[in-house]
Amino acid sequence: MYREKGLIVRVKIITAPHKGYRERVVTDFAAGAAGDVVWLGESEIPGLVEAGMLLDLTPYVEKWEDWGKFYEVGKKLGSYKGKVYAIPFETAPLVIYYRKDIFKQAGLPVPWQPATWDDVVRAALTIKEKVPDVIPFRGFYDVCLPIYMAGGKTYDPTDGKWIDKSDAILSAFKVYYDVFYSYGITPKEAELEKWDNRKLFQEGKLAILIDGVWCYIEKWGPGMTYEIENREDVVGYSYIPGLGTPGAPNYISVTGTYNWVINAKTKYPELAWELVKELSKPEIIAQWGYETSHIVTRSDAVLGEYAKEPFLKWATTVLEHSIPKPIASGYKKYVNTFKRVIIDYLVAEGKSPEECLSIFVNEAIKELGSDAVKEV
Amino acid sequence: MSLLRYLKRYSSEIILASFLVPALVLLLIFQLIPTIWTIWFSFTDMALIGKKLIHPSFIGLKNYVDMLNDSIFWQSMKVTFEYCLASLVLRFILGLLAALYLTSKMFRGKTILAAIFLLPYIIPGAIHPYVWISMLDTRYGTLNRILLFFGLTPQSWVYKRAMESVVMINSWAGYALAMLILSSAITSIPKEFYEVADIYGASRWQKFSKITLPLIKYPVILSLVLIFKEDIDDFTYVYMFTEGGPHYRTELLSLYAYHKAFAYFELGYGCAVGVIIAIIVFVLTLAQLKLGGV
Amino acid sequence: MSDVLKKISEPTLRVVGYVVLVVMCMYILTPLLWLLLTAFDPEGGPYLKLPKSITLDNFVMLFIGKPIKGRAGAAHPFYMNVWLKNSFFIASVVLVIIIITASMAAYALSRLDFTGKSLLMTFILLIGFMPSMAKILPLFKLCLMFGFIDNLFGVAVVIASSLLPTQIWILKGFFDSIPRELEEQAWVCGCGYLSTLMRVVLPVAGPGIAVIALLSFLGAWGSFTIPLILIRSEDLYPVSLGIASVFIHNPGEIGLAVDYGPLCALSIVYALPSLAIYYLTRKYLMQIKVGKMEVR
Repeated sequence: MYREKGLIVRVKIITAPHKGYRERVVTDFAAGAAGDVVWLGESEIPGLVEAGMLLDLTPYVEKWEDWGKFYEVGKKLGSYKGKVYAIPFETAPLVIYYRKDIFKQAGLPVPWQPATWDDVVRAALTIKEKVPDVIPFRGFYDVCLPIYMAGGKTYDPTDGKWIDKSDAILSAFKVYYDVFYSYGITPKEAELEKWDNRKLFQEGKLAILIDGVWCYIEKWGPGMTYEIENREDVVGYSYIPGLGTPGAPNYISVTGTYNWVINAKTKYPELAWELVKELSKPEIIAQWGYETSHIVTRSDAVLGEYAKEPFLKWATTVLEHSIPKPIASGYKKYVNTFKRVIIDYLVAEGKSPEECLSIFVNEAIKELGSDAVKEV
Repeated sequence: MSLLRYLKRYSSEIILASFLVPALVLLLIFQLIPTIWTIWFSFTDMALIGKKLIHPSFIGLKNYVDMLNDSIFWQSMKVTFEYCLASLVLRFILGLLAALYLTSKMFRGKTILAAIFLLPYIIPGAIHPYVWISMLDTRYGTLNRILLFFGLTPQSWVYKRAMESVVMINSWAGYALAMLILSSAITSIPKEFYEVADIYGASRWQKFSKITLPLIKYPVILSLVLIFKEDIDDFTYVYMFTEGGPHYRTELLSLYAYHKAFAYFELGYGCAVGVIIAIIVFVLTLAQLKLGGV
Repeated sequence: MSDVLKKISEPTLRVVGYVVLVVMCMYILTPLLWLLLTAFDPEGGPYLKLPKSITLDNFVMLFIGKPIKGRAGAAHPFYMNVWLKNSFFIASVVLVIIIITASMAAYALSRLDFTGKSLLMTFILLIGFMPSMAKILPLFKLCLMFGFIDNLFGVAVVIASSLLPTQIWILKGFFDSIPRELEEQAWVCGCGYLSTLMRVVLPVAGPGIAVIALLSFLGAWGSFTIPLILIRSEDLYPVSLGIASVFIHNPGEIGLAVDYGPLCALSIVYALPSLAIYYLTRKYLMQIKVGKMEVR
C-alpha cells in the first residue's frame, strides 16, 4: 500500500541476543518501551494480551487473503481467547530420528515408520538385545509429549484449567516408567545427567531419538558442531506415533512458534501491519526456515532452497499431525511441575506411575492453585 | 549571623564533605531509588505481564506471610546458606593463597603466575558454563576422563554432586577477587616491618600472623563481605547446570527470586524474596563488620 | 600450627609450597585447556579433544563479520571490532567516573570525623545489596526517564554506580593507611583540599587507585545484565552482549548451536585487554608507595 504511494518509511531495527531475550522483551513491554513490531515466542502472548499490550490483529487478518495460507497449528499458537494477536514466522515440531546403520545391524527394516508406540519399544528392545553397546532410545524433548501421544490434553481452553489427573497423564507416566524401568531402553543416568543426545546420536551410540526438526541441519548438517558426514545414509526420520490405545492419535507432534506481534501502544498500527505483512512474505519465511532449519508457517513458503532440501520438505508435512503448545499463562509452571515429578520421583527414585500421578496432583495444586487445575 | 559563623568555622570540613556529593548523587539515583522501588513492589501483587502489571494492588505483608509457609523458600534458604558458606571459605582461602604466592619472595615466575591466577576472572562470564560443561559432562567431560585415567570411578557431577559442582565452578571463577584485594594490601605493607622482625629473628609464621594478618585486617573483612555479596546475588552456575534441581537441592534464593519474577512473572513475590536476600546480606555484613571492628 | 611451621625448614616449606601451587594451577588451568585447544581447532566441539590441525580462522572470523568456508548455517556473524570498541568506551567512561567520584568520596570519608560516619559507610556499602535481578524493572524505568536507553554513556553511568560502593570502601582503606602529616604540610603551604588530594594523596595511594582501576575495569568489561536491558541497537553492543548474540539456544541446553571455535577465540581476545590492564596496574601495585614514603 505504502509502496504504491511511493512513500518511504524508515524502520529502526532493534535487536537483542537470544540469551536473555525473554527478560528483555518482557521488561520492555512492562516499562512501555517496546518497539512497534516485536519478535515474540508464543509463550509470552497470553500475559501480554492480559496486560493489554498486544494489538488485536483479528480485523487485519480478516481482510488479508494470505492468512488462509498459514498452517492451522501456527494460527492457533498466535491466537488467544478467540482473537489473533501474532503472525507466526517459524515453527519447530518434534520428530523421531533413527540410525539406519544400527537398525540394519539389529536386523530391523529401513526405512522405518512405527505405527504405534509399541513398535518403537519393540525396535528399541531388539536393538538392546542385538547391539548391546548403544543406547536404544532417548526422548521426549517436550516432557508432555507422552500425554499427547495418549490423546490427552494438558490444558482445557474452555474453562481455562490445567489438567492434573487424567487417564492420559497416567498413561504418560507409564510410558516413562516403561522407558526407564520396565524395558530399560534408556539408562536413567542419561536423563539425570543430561547426556548429550545429539552427540551420542552423531557418534552412533544412540539408536532412536525424539528431538526437534532443527537438529537435522543445525546439529548434524555440514559444517555444524556434530556433523554427520554421510547424514543421508545413516539418519532416518519418521513421524512420532500415538500410543495405539483408544482415543490416541495415529501420529503426533507438538510445536511452538516465533511470531511477529504489534505493540498495542503503537502510534502507527497501519504502518506496523504493513511491515508485518512485508516480513511475512513467503520468500522471507522460506529463506529464514532454510538458514535456521526451522519449519515455515505458511503453505506457499515451501519454495527456493527450502523446497530443495528433502528433509525440510518432509518435515513440513509433520505440521499436519502437530498440535500447538497450550497458549495460557501458567504453562511454564505446569511443565516444570510435570518435569520435576518425572525426573525427581519417577526416574531418580523409581516411583510407580500411580504414585507419580498422586504426587503430581499435589504438586500441581501447590504450584498452580486448586482452582486452576482439574481432573478429567 | 550564627549560621555564617558556623559556616566559617567549619568551612574546611564543609568543603571536604562536598567531596562526597558526586558519589552520593550517583548512588542515590541509580541504586537507592530502584531499591526503594523494589521494596514497594514487594508489598504488591505486581506481575511482570498480565492484568496485574497495569493494576497491581497493595497487599501489605501477604508476600512475606506466603513466604513463611512456602516450603521451597525455606529449602532455598538452607541451600543458599550451604552454598555461600562453602564458596566463602574456598574463594577466600584460594584467594589468600594466590595472593601469598604473588607477594612472597620465596617463589619465582610471578609474572606468569599472575597471568595464570587471573585467567578465570577475565574470560567472559558467558563462556564459563561451556568451559565447565567440557569439564564435568559425565560421558565426555575432562574431569571424568582424568579420573578414569588414574583408575578412579567417574562421578555423576551435574546430578549427584550438583552442589559440589557449582561450588567448584564458583570458586574457580571467583577466587581472584580476594586475590587482587589481598595481594595489593600485602604489597602496601612497609618492608621495614619485616626487616625489623628479621632482626628479632621472627619465624615465617610469626611474621605472617603478627605483621601481615593484622595489617590486612580491613581488606580481609572487605573481601569476605564482597565475596558473600557476590555469591548470594549470583545464580549463573545453578541456572546453567542444575536449574535448581534435583529436588530443589541447588535452588538458591537468588535463583528462586529469578524464577518467580521472570519465569512465572510474579514480580511482587520475586521482589519480596529479593528484599529478604538484601536483609540477610545486611545483617550478616553488619555482623562481619562489627566482629572485625571496622 | 605455629610450632609445626617453625620446625619446618625453608627448603621443605618451599617444596610444600610448590606442590600446592601445582595443584592449584591444575585446578585453574585444566578447564581452560579446552578453551585454548578449541580456539585453534577448525572442528572444535563442546568437549576436550586434540585438534587434528591448527588454524587461525577462528580468530579471523571474529573480525570479518561473516562466517568463512563451509561454516554456513545458523551461526551468527561476529562483529568483534565493533563490540570491542563499545566495550572500551564503556570501560573507560566507567573508569574515569569511578576514579574521580570514589577517590573524592573516600578521601572525605577518610579525613572527616563526624557522628554517623560509620553509619554512612555502612549505608554506602549496603545500598547496592538488593539483588540486581529484582531491581531491573525500576532501573529500566529510571533510565527511560534519563534517556539512557541505547546510550553507551548511560550504560557506563549505571555500571559505575553499581561498582562504586565497593571501590569507595577499598580506597578508604588505603587512604586511612596514609599518614596525615604529609597533607598537613601541604595545607600549611596553602593548598586546598582538592589540590592536596591530587598532588599529595593520590600519588602515594598508588596501589589503591590501581586496584580500583583494575576492579572497575574488570566489572565494566564483563557487565552483561545492564547493557542487555539498556542497549537496543546491534552496533552499540559491547562484547558481553555480542557473545550472547551468537548463541542460538538458551544456555543450559547442552549441545547448542554454537560455533565453538570462534567462541573460544573470542574469549581469548576478550581476556587480553583485562590482562593488559592488570599488567599496567601491577607495575604500580608493586612499587609499595606507602613504604617508600615512610623512609623519606
